[in-house]
Amino acid sequence: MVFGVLIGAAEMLSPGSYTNVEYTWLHLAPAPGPFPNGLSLVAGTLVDPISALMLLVVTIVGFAVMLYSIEYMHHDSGLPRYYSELSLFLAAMSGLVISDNLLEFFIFWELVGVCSYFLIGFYYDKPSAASAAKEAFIVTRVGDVMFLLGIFIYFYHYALAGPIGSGGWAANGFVFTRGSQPFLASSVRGSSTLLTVAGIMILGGAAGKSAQFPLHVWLPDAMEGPTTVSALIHAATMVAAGVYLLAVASLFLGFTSFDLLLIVAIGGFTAFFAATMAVVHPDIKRVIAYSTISQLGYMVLAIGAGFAMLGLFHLFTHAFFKALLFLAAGSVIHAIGTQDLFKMGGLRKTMRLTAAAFAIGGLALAGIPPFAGFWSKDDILAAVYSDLGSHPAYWPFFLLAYAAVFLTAYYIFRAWFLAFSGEKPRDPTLPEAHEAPWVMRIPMIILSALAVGGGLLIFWPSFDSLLLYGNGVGGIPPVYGSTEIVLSSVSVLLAGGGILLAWRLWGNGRVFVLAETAAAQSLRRLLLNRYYFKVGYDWIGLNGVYTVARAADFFDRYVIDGTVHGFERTFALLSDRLRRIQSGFVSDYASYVVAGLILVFVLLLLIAPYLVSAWGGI
Amino acid sequence: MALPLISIVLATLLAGTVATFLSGRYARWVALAMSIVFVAEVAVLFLAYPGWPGYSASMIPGFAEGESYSWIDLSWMHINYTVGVDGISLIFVLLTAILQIATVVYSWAEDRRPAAYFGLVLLTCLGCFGVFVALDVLLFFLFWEAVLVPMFFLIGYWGGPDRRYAALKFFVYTHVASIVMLVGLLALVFYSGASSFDFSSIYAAARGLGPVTQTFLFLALFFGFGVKFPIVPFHTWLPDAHVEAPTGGSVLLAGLLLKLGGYGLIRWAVEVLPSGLHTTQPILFFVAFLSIIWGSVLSLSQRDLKRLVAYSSINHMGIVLLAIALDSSLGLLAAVLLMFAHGIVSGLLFMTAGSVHHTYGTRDIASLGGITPRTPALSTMIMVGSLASLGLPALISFPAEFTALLATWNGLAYWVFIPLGILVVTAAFYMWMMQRVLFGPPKGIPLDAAEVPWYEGVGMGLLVILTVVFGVLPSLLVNVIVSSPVKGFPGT
Repeated sequence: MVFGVLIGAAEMLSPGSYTNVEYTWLHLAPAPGPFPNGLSLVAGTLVDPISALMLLVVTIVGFAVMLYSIEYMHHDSGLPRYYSELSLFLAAMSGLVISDNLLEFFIFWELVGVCSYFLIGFYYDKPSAASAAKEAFIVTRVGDVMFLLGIFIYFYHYALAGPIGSGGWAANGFVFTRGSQPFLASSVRGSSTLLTVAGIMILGGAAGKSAQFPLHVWLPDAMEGPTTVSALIHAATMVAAGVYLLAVASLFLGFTSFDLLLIVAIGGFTAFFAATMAVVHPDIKRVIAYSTISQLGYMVLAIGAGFAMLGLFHLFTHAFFKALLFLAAGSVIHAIGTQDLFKMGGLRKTMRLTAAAFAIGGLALAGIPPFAGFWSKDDILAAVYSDLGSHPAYWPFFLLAYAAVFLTAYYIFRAWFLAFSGEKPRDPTLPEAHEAPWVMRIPMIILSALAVGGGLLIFWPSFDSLLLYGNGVGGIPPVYGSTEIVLSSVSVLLAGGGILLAWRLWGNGRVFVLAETAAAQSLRRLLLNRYYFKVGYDWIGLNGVYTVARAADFFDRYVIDGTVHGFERTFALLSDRLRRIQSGFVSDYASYVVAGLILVFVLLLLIAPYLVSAWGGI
Repeated sequence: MALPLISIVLATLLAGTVATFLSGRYARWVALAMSIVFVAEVAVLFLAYPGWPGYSASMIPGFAEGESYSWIDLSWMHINYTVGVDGISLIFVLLTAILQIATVVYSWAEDRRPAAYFGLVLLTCLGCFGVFVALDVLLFFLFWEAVLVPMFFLIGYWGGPDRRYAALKFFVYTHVASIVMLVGLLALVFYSGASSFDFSSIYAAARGLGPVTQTFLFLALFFGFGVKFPIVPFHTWLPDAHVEAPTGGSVLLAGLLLKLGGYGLIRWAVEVLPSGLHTTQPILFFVAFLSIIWGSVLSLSQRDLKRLVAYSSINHMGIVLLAIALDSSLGLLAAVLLMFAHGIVSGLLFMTAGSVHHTYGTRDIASLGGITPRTPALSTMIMVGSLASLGLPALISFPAEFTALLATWNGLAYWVFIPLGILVVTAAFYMWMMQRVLFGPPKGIPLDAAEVPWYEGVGMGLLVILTVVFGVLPSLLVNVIVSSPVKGFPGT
């Protein structure tokens, strides 16, 4: 843990990249064929500005969550399993960020996936937890498969003329180049359709891990795991991996322009789409979960628009305030044992620190200056705006992302007002709330500090140099001119409006009842049911694939095996008949012989002329 | 060369088998001792392996540890006792030794005629070892058939309620295939005009065969070896045989017998008949894709744990066939690696299925549930096996599947979507199985269910360890495989 922070800090002080290739996995020596320069798959480590940034996130958030777990989890059984899985999770994520090649990246990527499968299903005796774990694994698997195809395409495309000087990618493993330019940008060779497909595949992989539309369904259900695990998944590990992949791909491989548009579209749309679902949900953890999907959308949007480092910066700040929100929510759940917002109320009186922490997290999420989220989110919006001139197709997604700012502020403060404001809990049967013990408070304090100050780090030159990534490959952050200030003011006003609306509707113990019109109610149902995506996927799984499987099983048993048994019966019948011929009487056999002879003669007489004419004499 | 190592191994295996048959109630000790000796001998074989000796004068691949003695010498036919190994056969020999010892330990408590049981297990492994080292058509065929008989009895005597049907089905299917294979091999010898039944002379003579002859010969051999794979639609013997076989039998069946087909195809068809492979490639691809899809989709609908693993075997062997059919060095490497991986992983999965049956009295997925609290170790092993089988990195199947798919992309471009897409289905059926069997509230658990006995744990644990070791360090295997006289491999 400390080690990771040290590496991150060291990188900050002396930018550059350190690589250390250690182990060759598979090696084919040079030989004629598809790999004239040989084929090597290797595993090694590489630390550069983006991995340093990620290491900081993983280790700090990981440390906070571990500390928090000591108290939060202490009455659960299976703690050895919990801590070993959590450690493996963090180890896999750290391995992922310091991988020096695409294959190793994929290996750790899958390990991150399986660890989140273990942890989401930590309460495995709950059917819903087991189901959520399965869902998370299968949905992300769809993305993984696409990612794998993307790797193949890149690999073969650059097998011989790869980014590395001698021999290409095949000879050197899938090693990332750390040049000043994305590789693709400097040398688009061969079919760019192929590279577009590869980019889409990488996007698919990232969308699976980072829960982007349309592979977003697993993340809200992943709430079945312990709250600490949610904090980790949402802030530092699982979902961060997808964004990190996109950043790495855009920095070292580059995307074609169609890919970029698609990434912007997915990011912008998801930012808005997920925010709408958070607006109505009654479960405190799920509201935060949707906010994660939405915030990830911003990061994806930034990377698509060519500002990968800004996307990662938002990932950095988001990790702290999102972990904070989860830990605060965990503290509430720990105290009163429910996740239903409509049962809570008035908790600020008994849980002062938690209420403050949640508010800080909420302000950071909503993007109110000077909290962390403001700096990163506004940088993204300003950067995308500066790009609109050359890419007018980004306009609708930019507007969606802007609209999401309002929704974000609204839904997170709706949650805050419901839980913490008012006089007393709405459900009187709830136990008396109490503030969390110190072991849980310390992580919240640490993260609160970072949620307040994390964004201000950009004014520290050492940190800023990380974000510039050498020559500014990842997109140079916009300079604050008058346009940017206007944009920021608008977004702060939007956020403020959202908070105000939340206060008007839910503040002070108020309960807002939606109009009973059909349209309003059906919209609410649509949102509560998450646009029926999950239902649809389940339907495909059960009624589509499973039915096909049943039918295939039927075919296997009755048609294929039926044919086999048909043969068997035919032969049995035939042999039975033939057995009867062998009566044992000489006279019978004599008559068979005579009959056979006659048959042969007749055949010969009939056929012989043809044979003679055909062969010209026997 | 100092010692006839391979003959020594064969002789000790034979002696061990006989001794086991005769040793009555001490059979398991004898079998264990012989398995340890076998492992040691294989280790010696590996240490003595000098790397691939290269091509001999007339571009015929050479083999390490080669031995050849005249056996049946007629004026028109020379049949020799010829054995030898290259990197590919060594990998399979290693697999044989591992699965033999794992099976013997796992079946420690077998009390129905233990002498016969362990003797048959050893005999099966002897036959497999023979197939992997034989370099003469007749010798190869003898060992090939020698595998069928003990497996027939293992299923037919120690099997489940429907064992007679399953054993007969297994025997008829594989025997018909063997006959076609024998005809193919003999035709190969006689059409090519090879001077003897030796691999090297057939290899040299077959170069002269025209593409049409090669195609027909290849098809015959493909059918013969393919039923063992098994390829769809000649696969229905497999689920029945697995369901009815005793656990040890299932392990050997999935781990070794299926590999015979793949090994035979590589050794006797792909290497010898390159034009035959070239012309039949579309058929092979079609069959491979069919097997991949069919195996995976059917696994989804299975209720019996063993049937589920059996169908997943069809899926994996489909990928093996695909990799072989690609006709590239990477493909062959992937095929051998995947067969080794599948041998270990399916062995593990069948053992876990057997242990579930022993502990809970049923293998029916629908009537089990939440077994994890009662048998955490067994659940962990089921999980490791399933994750390995669905291709999780750091476990043994991943390097194999990865190279197979990489080779597929190289050879077939977007067709790779079929095996890739099916990976999702594979993940789905294992995940769903684990959800139903391992997790959720406990269901259908007898009160006296306890953790698996030590010997079953040791047998499975051995395979779990190997799954991880070779998953993290696949180069241990790869370096051996690539030192083989398969085209495109640079040798040593």
